[in-house]
Amino acid sequence: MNKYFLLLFMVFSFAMPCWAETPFTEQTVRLQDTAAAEMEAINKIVKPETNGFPVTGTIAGCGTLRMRQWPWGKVMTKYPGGTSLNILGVSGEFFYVEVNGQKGYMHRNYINLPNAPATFAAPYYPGDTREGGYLPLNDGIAAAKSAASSSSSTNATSTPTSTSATVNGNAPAAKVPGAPTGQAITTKSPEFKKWFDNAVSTWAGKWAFPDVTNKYGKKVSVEEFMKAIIFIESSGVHRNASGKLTTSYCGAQGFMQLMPATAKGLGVDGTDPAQNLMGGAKFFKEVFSSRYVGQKSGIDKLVMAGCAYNMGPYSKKLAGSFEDMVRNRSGAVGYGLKVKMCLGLALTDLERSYVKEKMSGSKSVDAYADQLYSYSHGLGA
Amino acid sequence: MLMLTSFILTRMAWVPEEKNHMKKNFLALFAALLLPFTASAEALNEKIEIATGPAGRLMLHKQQAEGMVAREDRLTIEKDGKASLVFSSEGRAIERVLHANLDGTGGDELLIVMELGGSAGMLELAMMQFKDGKYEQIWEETGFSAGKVSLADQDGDKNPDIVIEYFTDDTPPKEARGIYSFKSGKVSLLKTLPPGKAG
Repeated sequence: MNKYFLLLFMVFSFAMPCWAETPFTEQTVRLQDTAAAEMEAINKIVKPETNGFPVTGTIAGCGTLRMRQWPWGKVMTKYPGGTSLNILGVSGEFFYVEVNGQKGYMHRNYINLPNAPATFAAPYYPGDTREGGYLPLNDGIAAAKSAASSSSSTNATSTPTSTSATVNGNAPAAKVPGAPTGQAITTKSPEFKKWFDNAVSTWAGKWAFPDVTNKYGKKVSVEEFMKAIIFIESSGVHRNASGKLTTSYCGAQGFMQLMPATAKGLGVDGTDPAQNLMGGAKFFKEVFSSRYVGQKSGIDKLVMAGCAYNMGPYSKKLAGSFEDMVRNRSGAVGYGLKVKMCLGLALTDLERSYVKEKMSGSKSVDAYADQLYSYSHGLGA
Repeated sequence: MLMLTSFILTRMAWVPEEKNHMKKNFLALFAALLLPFTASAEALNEKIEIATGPAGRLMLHKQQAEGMVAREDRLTIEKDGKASLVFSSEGRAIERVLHANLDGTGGDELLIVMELGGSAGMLELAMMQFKDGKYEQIWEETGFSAGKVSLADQDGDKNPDIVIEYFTDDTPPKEARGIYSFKSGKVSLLKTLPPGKAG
């Protein structure tokens, strides 16, 4: 407890001169600095384990997940299911994460790692933390560590093990995280390759797929495109270790995040992994030939097909080019950029500035793009 | 297919009474073979009455071909046995049609809420105004992810405004609310509320 007050005193004594001496317009910047300094000071006490990090993850499920200042600490904000995270470390049952430049702690039972899905195991909520309350710093750290050591229901891997596979040219190596646990159905499940090959061989031949070569001089294949979509949509997790179906905040389901009505229209059961992949591949036949995407060619067609999959192929926003979308910052810009990075397609200066501002967090644009390429190519390998 | 069905049924009439079990089995087999052909024509074909007014009955026809996401939904006005087209969805799925007098003058406006079928659960909206005896499209807005649309007075003028709760395209997406007002024949964004506290 004394350490906590000492910490607050240090933070305020550090920040006060800045407030006193700077005009209003600069105070905002100083307050942000203060928040970062506060987080840094907290982390000196929490001391998250950073060996094996950073890794990329996503918030699982359809609800929102609290970001706290420290394990079981003050709630800073909440993020919806599907949010991408840069996981910087782990402390007990909490991951130390970064979302769009904001750092904090999130309960790891609700976070998907690539091929190590969230368990969704309900944690023991100390004090009034279930209602949004918090524990003092040292109590929170102790409670989180104690729960992690006594529980077997947290993520099977706090630091995912990876092996590397060689790819052509100078492309980043494909990262292949460990096998699924419990009732999980992921791209590492033994049947995945069969389901994937079946879906691709049944439908990809009917796609009006453009001929595109990436920045590594490699022709983009239908398989790579399909894997990119699976990675962007679900991080390759159809069901987590508890058997819970990956479902987004808007109700989209499974590997390819089919909306229930879309799955019905395609004549598949989106909750079944094989049918989910089959439905997604079938959907792309319609997407590539749809009113707006069908008129495009080359990279624009490929990227806009991804945007159309995300937005819906008959959206009026698909009438223009992807360049228009980026310039106007409307539509599925972030999605289209993820498609480009997963496929190893070069980004324009405008696109790079969007990625830097809104997507890559503290990472460089190139490091972020390489990470997406690696994980996307590692799916099912 | 109709001719083949008529031919087979006609021939079956000549099967003697004592071979009725054969007749039953054959008809069951024939029906099973016929089923995929009849089912493949349309996965969805519904007609729903939305409202009735002086212009006639406003009807929503939902139509979708088997195995497709595209919907060819239509809104029509039916009067005196004649139907005239009000709006065609062009691939999008009309899920709701809200009708209310949004500007306090004339008749009800129609707010058409369409789902796009993509993984982000996005919506598009179209608004129709009844003018000079027919409906005209005066507004179209797109890109609301996982949106909830309702009508409620937000600016105190006693006329309902359009309230849209949605997720932004930011990474990560943020919850937001857009309020649109319809006045003097124009729809304008009244305000966008900052992302709320989720969950």
